[in-house]
Amino acid sequence: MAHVSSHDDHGDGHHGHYVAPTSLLYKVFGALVFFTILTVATGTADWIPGALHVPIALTIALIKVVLVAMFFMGLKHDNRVNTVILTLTTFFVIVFLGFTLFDVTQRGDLGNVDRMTAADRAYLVQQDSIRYAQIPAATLAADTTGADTTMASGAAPDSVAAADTTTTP
Amino acid sequence: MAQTLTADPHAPTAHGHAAHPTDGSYNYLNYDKTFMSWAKTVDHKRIGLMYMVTLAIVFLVAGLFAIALRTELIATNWTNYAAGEQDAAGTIMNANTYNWVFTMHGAMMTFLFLVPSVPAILGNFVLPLHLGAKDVAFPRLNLASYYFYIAGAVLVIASLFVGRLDTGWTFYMPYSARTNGSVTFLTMAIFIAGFSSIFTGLNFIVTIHKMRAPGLTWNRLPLFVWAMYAVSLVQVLATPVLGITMLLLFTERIFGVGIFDPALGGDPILFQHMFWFYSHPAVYIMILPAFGIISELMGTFSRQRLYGYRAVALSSVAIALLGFLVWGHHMFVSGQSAISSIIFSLITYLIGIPSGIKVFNWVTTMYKGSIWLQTPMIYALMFIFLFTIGGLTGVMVGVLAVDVALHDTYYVVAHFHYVMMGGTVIALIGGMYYWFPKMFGKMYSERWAKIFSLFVFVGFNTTFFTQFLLGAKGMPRRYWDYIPMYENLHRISTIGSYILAVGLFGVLGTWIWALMKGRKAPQNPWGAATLEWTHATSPPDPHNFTATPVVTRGPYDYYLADEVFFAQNDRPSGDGSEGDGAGDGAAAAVVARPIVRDFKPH
Amino acid sequence: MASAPATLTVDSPEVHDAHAHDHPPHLQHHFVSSEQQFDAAKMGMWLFLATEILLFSGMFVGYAVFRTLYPATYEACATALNTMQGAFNTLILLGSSLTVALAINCIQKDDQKGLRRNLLLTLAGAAIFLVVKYFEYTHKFHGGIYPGLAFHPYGEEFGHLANVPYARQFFSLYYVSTGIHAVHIIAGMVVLSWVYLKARKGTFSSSYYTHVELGGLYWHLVDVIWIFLFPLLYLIH
Repeated sequence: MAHVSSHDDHGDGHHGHYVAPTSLLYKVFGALVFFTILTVATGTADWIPGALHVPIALTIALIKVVLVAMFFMGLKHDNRVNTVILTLTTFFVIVFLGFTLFDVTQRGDLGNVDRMTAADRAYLVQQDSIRYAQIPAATLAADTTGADTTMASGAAPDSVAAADTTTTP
Repeated sequence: MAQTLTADPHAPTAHGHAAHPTDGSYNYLNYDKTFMSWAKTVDHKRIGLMYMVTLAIVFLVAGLFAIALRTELIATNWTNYAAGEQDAAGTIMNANTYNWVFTMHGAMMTFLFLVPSVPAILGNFVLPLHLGAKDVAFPRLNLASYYFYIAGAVLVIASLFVGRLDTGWTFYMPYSARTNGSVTFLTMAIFIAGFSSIFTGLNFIVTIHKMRAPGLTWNRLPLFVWAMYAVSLVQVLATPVLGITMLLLFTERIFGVGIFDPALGGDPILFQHMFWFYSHPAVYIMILPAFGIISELMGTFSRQRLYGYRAVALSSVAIALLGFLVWGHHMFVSGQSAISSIIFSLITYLIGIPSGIKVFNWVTTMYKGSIWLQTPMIYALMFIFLFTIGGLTGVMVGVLAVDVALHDTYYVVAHFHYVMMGGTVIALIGGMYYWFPKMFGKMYSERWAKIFSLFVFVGFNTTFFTQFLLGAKGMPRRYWDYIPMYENLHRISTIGSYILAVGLFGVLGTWIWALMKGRKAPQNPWGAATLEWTHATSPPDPHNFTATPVVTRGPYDYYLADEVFFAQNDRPSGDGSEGDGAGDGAAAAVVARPIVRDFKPH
Repeated sequence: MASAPATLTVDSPEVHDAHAHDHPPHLQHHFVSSEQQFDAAKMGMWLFLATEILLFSGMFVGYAVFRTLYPATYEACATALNTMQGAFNTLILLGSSLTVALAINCIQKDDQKGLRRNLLLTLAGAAIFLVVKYFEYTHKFHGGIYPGLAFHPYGEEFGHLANVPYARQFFSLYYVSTGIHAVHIIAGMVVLSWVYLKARKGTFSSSYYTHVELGGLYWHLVDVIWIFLFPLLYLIH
């Protein structure tokens, strides 16, 4: 915060900045190397079920990032504001990722809704029966695909919808 | 308990240097008039002015595009609708040109004008003054911000000559990968201009945290500062996602990466997710600073403290943060999953609440206040009326079932013009009139400003209210032509746009006239109580203040603001700026004086 | 209670600069103390890092969406990436993070030689990272694995990928992610080189080492991004 100007911190030594002990930095590096080896080991292990690979890898990555942030980047002994900035950012990244993934996994959940109105469906049934009536009897007897009958027999909406995407205006 | 000025040990007076006058005759405009002093300036006030001129030019170009497309839509091109005969040449342009015109209008207005507007012009100029600071935290970064913006703007203008972008300002995939228009140019331009936005936001956040004057606690900050803080949060957090979206769009076009293009196996809805994750918070970037201006105007021109200070301050931050959770409401009919749409719709209702809190607080601020209907106040009231309509219709299209019918119709066009233009632009104009005397030391003509504000109001509503009706009747947006049943409403809308154009040119005219012939402005013509009015001259000194102010009261505590009531506007006779003819400032007796406002009927 | 007297004398800006002051030369005039300036600079850097995190988040979202849609593709394609090279690069970057933290540590104790040594080590680590990346990329190019439409795998090592649907997306995302990351590595090298040159001139001391601190913060971020990229790209099983 701004304060009334004074001369006491000009030409000062450390301004009260935290100086980490060098041994701590080496220890953190050691931990990071350990976690990296752990990541590779768990990432290539066959005995871990497939679905758990990503959560485990991400958890270890998160631990490594926290170590780097707190000790290498100095957040532990820094202004609280900087930690808030990092946390807020992470939160919004999770929001972005979460909502988007949620949408992707839930796509196509309109399957139980008939995409046609009743009037459209009735019109198409009528057109279909007109066409059906115009097909020569000999061709009908030989035709075994039954494709033309799906509409009139009132089959499930999805397959009908799939069949008539070409006819819907 | 007035604010006091302490001698600043860092002030050069402590070192006994040569003096320059501090009555405003030596100020940031005239201390050095060379071109290079402007091109290399790190003075936030000069940078604000440079943005102002540049953005005015951008607004002019994009506005002319708007007039062009409204003129095209004045008449239907169906010469015989029943027989299917359509005049492909259009009223003044063919369909392809029309697509290009509305795309450029949208892209220039949103990215190049609205997003920077208030923060870059008024934020840059006023924020350090509000904080009692000499400048922003990173003045050179501020200048870099401006040049990044220029680079982006130049690229956009260049794209006008390279190809014809016709995707709409939203660049939806897959068309933006296929079209021959200048998509590549524009993605680069927006990527670069995005840095301008990010650096400005970054600068403001650090300035507000670190450079407040002694005694200026968070609870004593003017609400304009709270608004700048909230908008800066959004700028810093949202704009990078636009950056990566533009980058991925660029690689999609150049390399055929296939992330978004369905023909290559991509997901076009993913593009929309990434685009709107920025673009929805972007609209809050556009409106939050406008809220800040209105808070200042309502307080000053009702001569009262802002009702519900803390509610208004915190609602700005709430809107900023909540705004990140609702982007899917632009994608209700895109193929997004139904459950996502429902969730986004529900959260969208929540955003109406903080906005509503603000509107109620502003209106209550007027209650039992001393209302002074000067031009800035007229624009503030106009804002409340227009923004309420815009905001409420926004909630309407946020209703999932309703949006299925109204999406991509003129209803949405009317909604966003009410909030963006009726909101941000009106607030910007009001703020410009308000701070004009401070920026330039000149007063504008009240009479003409009020006349043109009427043109603006009538023109705006004529143009855009009819578009609500058009949209509800089913007129789709971005269409070059329409069936004859819409013609009357379109005609009215176009005439309205001409009236609006007259009004806006008139507003510009009042400013230019004031610069050339306006009379000299006193330090505090409005009798406002924030630091830029009480402690800085009009125009301000290059270093803003003669000494660092020490703040001992809130920004709207008029009952504590002795310096507003005494001596401020009284000057030796000759500059004619006295208020109610109350002689010299040496009237020692504590006489209850009428409000010292500079009021001279023109 | 008095407002500013109209005749308080104040220096003009240009005259101001020419005079000696009793505060350090690095203190900019709109700040009141070195402390305030340093804290402001650090906060500004953290905000910039936040924007970088959000920039990369877009790529992670793209990755996540495609992996969710086509998990089999990812498993098939991950075999084309060399886990050992990725792990080696991870360790190199972690090491360079250590050396840049040590550089800050040194200058906090006024150890100029240590500062310079550690900065050079950091730059060396970055260069090694880029060299390994170069080999990774060229190896893939030889097999026809290019980003985007140019993707045409052939040969005995990568030929099978031609039959894997959506393999192009995977590799395009791989190239875009690691490519933009590499651009940031290069930018970091430029910044740290500039810091090193300033260090050689003796600009820094225990009371002024802002540039080192900010350069270090940026470098750590580049490392953090890679910490996430490595398992997601190389260790798909």
